[in-house]
Amino acid sequence: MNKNSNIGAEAARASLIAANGAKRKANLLLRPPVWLNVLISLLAALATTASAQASQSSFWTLIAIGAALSVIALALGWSHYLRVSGVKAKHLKGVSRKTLTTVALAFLSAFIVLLAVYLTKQGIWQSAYVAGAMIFLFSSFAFYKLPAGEWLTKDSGNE
Amino acid sequence: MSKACFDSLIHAHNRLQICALLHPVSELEFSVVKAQLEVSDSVLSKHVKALEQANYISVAKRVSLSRPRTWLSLTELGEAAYLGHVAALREIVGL
Repeated sequence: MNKNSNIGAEAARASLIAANGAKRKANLLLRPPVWLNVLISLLAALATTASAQASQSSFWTLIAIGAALSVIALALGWSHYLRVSGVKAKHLKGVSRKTLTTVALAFLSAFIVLLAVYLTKQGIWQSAYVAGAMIFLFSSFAFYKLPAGEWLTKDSGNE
Repeated sequence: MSKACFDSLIHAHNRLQICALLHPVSELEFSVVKAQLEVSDSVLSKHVKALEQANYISVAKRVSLSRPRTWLSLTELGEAAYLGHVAALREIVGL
């Protein structure tokens, strides 16, 4: 196998653009449709707000559990739909940029929820709704821009 | 960052795109790759065979919902070769 390159910069640039375009297509296959993105994000926001209020009534606890289970069911449903459509998402393995991004987002979300729970217990009830709004924004942004754990650019050229 | 190594096997337009499509996912079905590349079955089969012979991709035939399906995935060797090739291209371009 010839491992030597004898191509010019223009040909290399064209190849890079083609490769980035294909990579972007694969990432787009993993992106959920907007309606599902909004639905999952709204349920995640509801679960956050309800969790922060849960210490005050069993009604909020029920809503928090219901919303969290709905988020899990929708995520599993999307994953199953992808498999049926011929796409299997990559599992997290080892230390990669994708793993770090996913772990960072998970920790940030958990921190927001715990902070909202703490502040609500301190009597700042508005924090539950602020945290819910933040989780909605984080979740919808992550599903839209990081469907495969890597930043999805608009331009498929020189990334 | 992978070590830059130009690979003439991967460099062919369709083969480079096959590797780029398979890199962000665990597996893709043959028909999905075909639809994304907009090529015929025979053209894709030819490129898949070349990559499979080099042990860059693995091909698995499984029956799902009583339908035979062919799944393609990038092997570790293939992933290293693809990333090395992309790094070599970036070096040539000067990125």
